[in-house]
Amino acid sequence: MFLNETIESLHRQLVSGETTATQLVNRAFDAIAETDPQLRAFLDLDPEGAREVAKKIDEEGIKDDELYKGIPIAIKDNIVTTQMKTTAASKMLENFVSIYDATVVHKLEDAGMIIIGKLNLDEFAMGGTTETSHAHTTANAWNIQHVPGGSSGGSAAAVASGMVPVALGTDTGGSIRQPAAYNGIVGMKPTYGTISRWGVIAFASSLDQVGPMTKTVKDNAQMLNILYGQDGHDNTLATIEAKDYTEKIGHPIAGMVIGVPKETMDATLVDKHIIDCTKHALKQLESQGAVIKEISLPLLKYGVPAYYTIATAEASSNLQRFDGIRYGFRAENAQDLEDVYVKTRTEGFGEEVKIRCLLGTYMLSAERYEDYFKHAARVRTLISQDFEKAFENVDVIVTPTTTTTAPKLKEYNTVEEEAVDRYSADLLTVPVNLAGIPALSLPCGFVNGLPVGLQLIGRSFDESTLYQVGYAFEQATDYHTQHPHMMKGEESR
Amino acid sequence: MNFETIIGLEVHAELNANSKMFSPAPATFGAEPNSNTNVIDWAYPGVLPTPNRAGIDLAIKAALALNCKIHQDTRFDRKNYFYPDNPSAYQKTQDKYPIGYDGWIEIEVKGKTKKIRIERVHLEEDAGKNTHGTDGYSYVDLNRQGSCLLEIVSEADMRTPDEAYAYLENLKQIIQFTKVSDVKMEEGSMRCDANISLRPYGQEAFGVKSELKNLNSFNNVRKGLNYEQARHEKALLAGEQLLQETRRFDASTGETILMRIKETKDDYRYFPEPDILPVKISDEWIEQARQSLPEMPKARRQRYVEQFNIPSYDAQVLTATVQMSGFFEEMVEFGADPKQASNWLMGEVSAYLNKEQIELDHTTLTPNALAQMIALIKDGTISSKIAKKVFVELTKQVVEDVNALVEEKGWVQLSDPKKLLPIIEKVLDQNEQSIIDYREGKDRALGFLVGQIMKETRGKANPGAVNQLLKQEIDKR
Amino acid sequence: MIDKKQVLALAKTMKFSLTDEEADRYSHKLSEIINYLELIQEVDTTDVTPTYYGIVGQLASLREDVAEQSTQSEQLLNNASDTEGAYVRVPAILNDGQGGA
Ligand SMILES: [Mg+2]
Ligand SMILES: [Zn+2]
Repeated sequence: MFLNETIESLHRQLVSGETTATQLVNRAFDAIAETDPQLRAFLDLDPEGAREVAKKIDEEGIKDDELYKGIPIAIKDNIVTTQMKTTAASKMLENFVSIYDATVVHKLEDAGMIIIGKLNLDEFAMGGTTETSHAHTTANAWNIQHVPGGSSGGSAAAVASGMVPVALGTDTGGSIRQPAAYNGIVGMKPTYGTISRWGVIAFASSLDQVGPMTKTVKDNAQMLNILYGQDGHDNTLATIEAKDYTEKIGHPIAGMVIGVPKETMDATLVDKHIIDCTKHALKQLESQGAVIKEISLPLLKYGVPAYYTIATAEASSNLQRFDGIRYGFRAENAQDLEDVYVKTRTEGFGEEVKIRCLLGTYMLSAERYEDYFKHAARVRTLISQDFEKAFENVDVIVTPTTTTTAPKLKEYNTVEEEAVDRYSADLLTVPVNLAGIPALSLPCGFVNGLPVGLQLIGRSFDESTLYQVGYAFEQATDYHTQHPHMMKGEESR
Repeated sequence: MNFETIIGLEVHAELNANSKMFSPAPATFGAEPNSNTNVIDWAYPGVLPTPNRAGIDLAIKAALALNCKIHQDTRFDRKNYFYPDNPSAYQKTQDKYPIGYDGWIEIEVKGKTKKIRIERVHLEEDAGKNTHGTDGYSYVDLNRQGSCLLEIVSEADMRTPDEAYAYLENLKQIIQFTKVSDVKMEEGSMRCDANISLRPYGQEAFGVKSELKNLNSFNNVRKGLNYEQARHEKALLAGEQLLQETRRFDASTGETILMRIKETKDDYRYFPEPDILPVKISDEWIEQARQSLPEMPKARRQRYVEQFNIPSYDAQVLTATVQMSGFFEEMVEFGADPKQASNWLMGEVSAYLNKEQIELDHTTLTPNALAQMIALIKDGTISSKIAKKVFVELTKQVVEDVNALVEEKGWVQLSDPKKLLPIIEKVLDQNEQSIIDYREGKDRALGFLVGQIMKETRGKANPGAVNQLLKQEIDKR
Repeated sequence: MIDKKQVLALAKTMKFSLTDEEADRYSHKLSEIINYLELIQEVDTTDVTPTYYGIVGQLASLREDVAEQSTQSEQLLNNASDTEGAYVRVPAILNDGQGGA
């Protein structure tokens, strides 16, 4: 287990010879063997590959300045790898092995990290519970009766339970931050254009972004240090000068102005206990000298409908390539070409994916394009402007990450018309994706033994300030040092 | 005829780039199937497009040559449809902000010039190639998938199939001069679809159109349109309701064949391509592209008439293709007399190209060699008759030094009096009657004597020199 | 509202076949969702420029025109479900003028 470990603590042990990369890899697989049967966070593992890399690293030795070398990591299974299957948790890619690696995979490898496995998600990252995964459902690390959130549910559960010290997730509408919040870990959705999307299976291209999921704020900043930057493949990447995302970590936050949108502290929208946790967290920040200021994001409630209009439209187009011809699943007994398409796509995709593709097609149809898709794109502009205005007066915006704690498994599925409820649960995270700005979720409390997340939202490319505030909060609290008392089946706290 | 014909054309031209529009795979023809493809061309999960600067640059040049305005904030869109030659099931193309718009070109039909407006010139990725087998399968080769493709859409400004033909000829000529595309229909680097409809004269609303595909030559475009024009007219006169159809031209029968009826307008669900950010085309970029454009055919024709003093008909022929025009100008640069150069190109060279069905740049002819040959005629080293033999040699292999060739072949004319005089003396001695005839004023006698001398020298004697020396010698007798 | 017929039309575009039961259920579900998404119709967006990209004000980075020979054609063909020689094989395509660029 890696429950009490950070990148730095592991690095120190490696450099001092207290442990080896091989031992760390073994430690990860031991933890997985012990824990994953209950959590089911992993979709594929690469013990031989990982041990081979570890052995090579141990032979080379690890220098003091090789912070990441020899540290195990697992990545969300919508990031393509040549060493393991990449399924996007879909039957469509059940047995798919990519013939190229994602840029982030190269970056991790270049830093010497050892990728040990691929993590569960909602099918094609569409969902917030990991229940739409074709493979299986993952459980929340704090209570296996509850969902881990999603779509990066596997990543969150794996880190929270200590099976790996760090993981990568992707976030299109909250898919890093929400599961991070549900599992009591730290998750960053960086500014759009920070991390290459090359090799990340597209859900909604204008919203998708990769990000680190870690136990601590500093780990997270250190991970971002090796993930950002141009790669010659993703033309939507920003030019970012060489940067150290830990630069402001440890700096005091006294005098910093923190905006709290009043719309996010509305008990008709957000669980009362979560609002209490958030208030408590704000007090903590205030006690460190931050100035708390109420602000307004008047268009907040339009974020979810604008988001689902845009995201499903892009997804409907992005997922057309899965047709059974060039790779992936192909249905049997197709009589003609149309049959290949229809049978493959009917059998290969799950219901949530189909619903979203149908919705997206509807939004893009010639008659509705102007009133729906284009209108939503205009609302998106206004939502961005809301944030810009807010950042004229504040340095960071703080909100709860989620409206509730992790729901019970299958809870949504029992509700007759659950889709709208499910979608509106993304209220607090999706506006950030629409605006392309960064946001960090970190633990700020518990309700009934389930973690609660605090969301820090920043200006474009100002992740450093989020890490500064997050670190200050983390240092003053002990939420991050608490671990799930796994896994005895029932309520664990 | 009771109806006015309305024709609009969509032309696709493959751009001359080394790599594809959104992937670095090579954009070359004739490679092993699927060998010029990578994960981007196959629309693998997670791939992203990397837009090619050259594709945009070539499109700007074409747009400028077609008198278009340029969208300086140009963008790409997705056109969604499933097809095996379209791996991502969306084509990256340009919908709202094409690189060029509002252009025009001029055509001439029966001595009348007319402006045909160009609605748009946009950049897109080409599709792969499906080969339809007879075994119940189709075979997909994605080598062409993603190549830089230019789509040039005319306004519905053409009124006859002849105008459509003239438009295509002109368009091809202009594009060819810009060198952005080879525009060869037979190689598929230029493709054409035509829309045609008829309406009663005076009516403003367009009639029901049909769309013609598979038109693989300009002649077939004209034939297909003529066929459609007649078909529409007949149907309209019979009071039949026409349907919007996609039809294919069958060159073997000269008829068009129904492919499908468009019941509803295709909905391609166009939307801005989120994976490609807008591209800014700066004033400097446009200016650079403009500077790099060669002189267009019309301007060249005028210049040839003024600068080289050659007839406008000659100028027209010389600028028919960029190769011919370039060849001509190079010949002049190598010192050839423009009129002589023009005569040779329009005469012997064109005849040769026609006979061999070959393009000028695929021959062994070089402007330098032809210019040398013309110079040798001018200075009397060879006769124009010998020149024809020289020309044949020039079509067999590239010749660097024409003078050396002529000497090696022993084709140099005899002009030296020391060598000519003994022969002249000999001929005069043998033909005394001719001398008498000449003195009596029969000019033909002189011609006969010259002929005899040419015979003796096996055609090598310089006729000018022979004439002069012959008269001198007769006078001496 | 989106009725069963519309759902089936959308499914046709997306190449999904739906059972009668699914079409019914999807039509309810989609109607609910669309009804909710229509909330944004309240927002006055007159004169607002739409945002289509994840990053605003940034331009595409362009690649220089250097061809890179692909080394993966064999692997690509290996992943395809049906190939013949160097071709990808699919059931016969009707030449109905739908394809092309
Ligand atoms: Mg078109
Ligand atoms: Zn086109």
